[in-house]
Amino acid sequence: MIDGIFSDANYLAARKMLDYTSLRGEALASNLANVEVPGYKRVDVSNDFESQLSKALENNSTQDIDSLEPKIVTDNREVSTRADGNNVEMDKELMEMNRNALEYEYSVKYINYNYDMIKSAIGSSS
Amino acid sequence: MNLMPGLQSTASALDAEKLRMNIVAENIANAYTTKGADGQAYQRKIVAFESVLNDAEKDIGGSSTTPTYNVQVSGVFNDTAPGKTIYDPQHPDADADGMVTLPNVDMSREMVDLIVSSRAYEANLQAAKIARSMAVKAMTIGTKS
Repeated sequence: MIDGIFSDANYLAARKMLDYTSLRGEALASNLANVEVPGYKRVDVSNDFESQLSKALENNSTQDIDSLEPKIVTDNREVSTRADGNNVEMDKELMEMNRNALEYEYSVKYINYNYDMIKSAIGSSS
Repeated sequence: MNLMPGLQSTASALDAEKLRMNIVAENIANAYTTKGADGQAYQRKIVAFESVLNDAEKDIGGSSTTPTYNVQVSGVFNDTAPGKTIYDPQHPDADADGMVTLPNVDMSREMVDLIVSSRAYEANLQAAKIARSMAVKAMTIGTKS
C-alpha cells in the first residue's frame, strides 16, 4: 500500500530532516555572513530538535514526528574567544555547513529510495 | 521559503565585504595624497558593519521569528587621527615651516584588513556553493536515481 510508505515513521523523519537541514543552512549562512560584525552572537537550530526526533522514532510515533518544528535560537553556549564579543568561528561554521549539506543529501536519497520502491511495486519501469 | 538556504545573508555579506575591499583600495591608493578635495591631507576611511534582522524569510514553516541576520555597512567613517608630518620645504604642500602632513594611512594595517576581508569573502562564496548543491539535490527528489 502506498499509504504504508508515506506514513512510515522513517519516511516522515526524513522529511522533517529536510526542513531541519534547510533551516540550519540559513542559520549557518547567517553566522558566516556576520563573522566580522562586533558583538554578533551565533544562531543555530535549537538542539532539542534532534533528541526529540530520535525519541519520537524510538516510540514509532508518527504524530510526534509530524508535530516537531525546528526553530532557530541564539547560541549562548559558544564562548567568545575574540575581543569584539563575536562568538563565530569561521572554520567551524564551514565544517558544520558541509555536514549539514551532507545530511540534506542523505535525506533526499532516502526519500528517493522510498519513491523507487513504490515505483517498482506498481510496475512502472521509468 | 528559499530554494537556496541562507542566500540572503550570504549575499549581503559578499556585498559588505566587497565595499570594505573598495575602501581599503581607496586608502592604499591615497597613502601619499597630501592634498585632498578639502585641501587637507587624505584621511584614512574605516568601514563599520552591523547585523540586521533578516525579514525576507518570515514565511518559513510558520515560525515568524526566524532570527537569521544580514550584514550591512552601518557607515564609512574618517579616521581623524593625525598623520605623520615630515620636513620637506620643497614640497608644494609644505606649510610656512616647511612641514608636510602625510595621510594617516598605515600600509601594513590596510594589507591586514584586505586579507581579512578577502578571506571572509571566500568563506561566504563557499557558503553560496554549498547552498547551491543543496538546491540541486532538492531538484532530484522524485527523479529516477
